Amino acid sequence: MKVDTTRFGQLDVADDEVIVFPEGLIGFETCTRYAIVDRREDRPVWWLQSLDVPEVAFILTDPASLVPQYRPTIPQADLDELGLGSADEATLHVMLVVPGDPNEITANLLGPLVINPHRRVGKQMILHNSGYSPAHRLVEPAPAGAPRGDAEGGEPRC
Amino acid sequence: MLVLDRRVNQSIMIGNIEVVVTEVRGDHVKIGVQAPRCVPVHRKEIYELIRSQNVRAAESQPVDLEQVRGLLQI
Repeated sequence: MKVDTTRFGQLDVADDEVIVFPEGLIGFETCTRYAIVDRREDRPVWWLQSLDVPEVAFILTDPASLVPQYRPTIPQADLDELGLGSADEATLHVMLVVPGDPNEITANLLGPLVINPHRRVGKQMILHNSGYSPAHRLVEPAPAGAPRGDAEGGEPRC
Repeated sequence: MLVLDRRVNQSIMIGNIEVVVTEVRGDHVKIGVQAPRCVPVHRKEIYELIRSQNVRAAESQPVDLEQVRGLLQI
């Protein structure tokens, strides 16, 4: 199918490249169909482009490469909903926020996207009581003495 | 907003979703929700936190991903 997008112009998306989030993403409930754009297996940062709303796109990453200690527990009910037998079968992505100063890039570890890669269906989880940050900082703050040295413990305000 | 008086172990039904007060202690109330799996149930403040992060993510600067990859050293 041909899909117009704000960032990438017209995309030609094959049916088997469509990932469906039946509930949408939180705050984007009407955006249920997505495709991955600019994927590189060796450098896991890519776009998740809405196929429903041209301007909606998110930058995703594979948290394993950036936050190796990140091991969220996905409730079995959610795995069942996605047709997954166990968490090992799931693909886990997290969204990045890239603000005006890209050094302040953060990852939302509290609300990861869990995808069944075979059925191409996914949902955004909320990891209640997990202690994970919705704005986990990925780039070390500038060293002391630099203009921007106010972050404590690497965790920014949200 | 509709406001209903309920005691512990009493419920209200919202469509086919049951909301039951299970415990009240001072200003602390425990609430049980019986809903079909397709109905997401979240604490509002956490929901709002994730929603605002999603909105910020969607407003990310139109960056070249190579720049992001370089920045993250991956």
